[in-house]
Amino acid sequence: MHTSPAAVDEHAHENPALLHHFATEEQQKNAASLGMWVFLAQEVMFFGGMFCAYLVYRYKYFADFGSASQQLDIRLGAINTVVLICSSLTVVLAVRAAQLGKRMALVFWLLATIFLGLVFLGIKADEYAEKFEKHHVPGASFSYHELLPGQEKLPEAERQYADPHHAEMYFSLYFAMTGMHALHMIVGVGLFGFLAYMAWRGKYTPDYYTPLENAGLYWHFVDIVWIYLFPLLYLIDRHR
Amino acid sequence: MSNHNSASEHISSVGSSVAIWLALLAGTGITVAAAFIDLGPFNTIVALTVATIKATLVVLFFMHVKYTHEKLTGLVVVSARRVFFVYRSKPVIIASVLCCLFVDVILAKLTLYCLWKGRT
Repeated sequence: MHTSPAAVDEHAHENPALLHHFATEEQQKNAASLGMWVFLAQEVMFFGGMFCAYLVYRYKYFADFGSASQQLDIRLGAINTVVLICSSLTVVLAVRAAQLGKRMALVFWLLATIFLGLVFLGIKADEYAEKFEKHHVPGASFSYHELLPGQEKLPEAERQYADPHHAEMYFSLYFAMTGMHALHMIVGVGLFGFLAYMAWRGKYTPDYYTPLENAGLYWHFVDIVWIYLFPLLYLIDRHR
Repeated sequence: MSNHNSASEHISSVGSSVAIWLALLAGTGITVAAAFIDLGPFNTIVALTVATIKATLVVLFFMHVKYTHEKLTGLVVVSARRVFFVYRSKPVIIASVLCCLFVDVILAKLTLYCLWKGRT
């Protein structure tokens, strides 16, 4: 960039976070925001494929999927949903604190978000551990001997059991979808750890907090994915 | 460019954020409660409708899409095309495209699956 002394002087008064290849702070912010939304668009496509696979197989193996879905603990799923919704609120409050220039409040809300993210992952780990104990993890040791939905009302001799291969398909999709979601959570927790450190160092000001805002968008997106995963995997097959 | 309220400039009030948070918690309560009542096929419909309302609240208020342009309210999920031609706010278009993209991916893959199934 060719800079006359006057131009250099102009830059000197501006936000130090403004990179030289952007004309204005707003342009820089818009560019970062556009990039974030494009990234979220490809995330939608990524998760969309798995949701579609789930739809197809649930349609195909309807009864077996109902049986397998009833193996999940609805309470743990509901608690995790509440935890994630609370973490979304803490992210909103963190961005607000950054906009208002409250450094310690910002660090506090970021740490609160990390804490809630870890609570979610802990509960998820507990659920996974239960699946390992029950041999409900797809693979060589998978075993499944559960009734089809509604069969418990029938006399014992007439009861029908779910096809283990079809139930295994359910658990494959369950682990693929919740596993990818949990991976996104782990990335998010790491991201917020970094942001909390930088915030503590005083890097973010009311003039420059774009990383916080974009990390917030990412976290809300991960929350939305769970908002759909929870009813699809846990809730809709309670009654058959 | 300077007169537009970009997404980043909006500072959400604590009160409205808490209100949205309570609405999201209420939505969770409703879906869980509905799951324990036998509504037949409506179990799925109720659960996914509430989920969509919750997702819309998050996109509009927590992701600040509502505040990106004064005219856009509520149109994010309604129609990407209408938004595209009538309201020229970048984040709205992007958010609408996201929704359409999701539906599109699902439909495209379902079509492929049906074609594949038709052959065998």
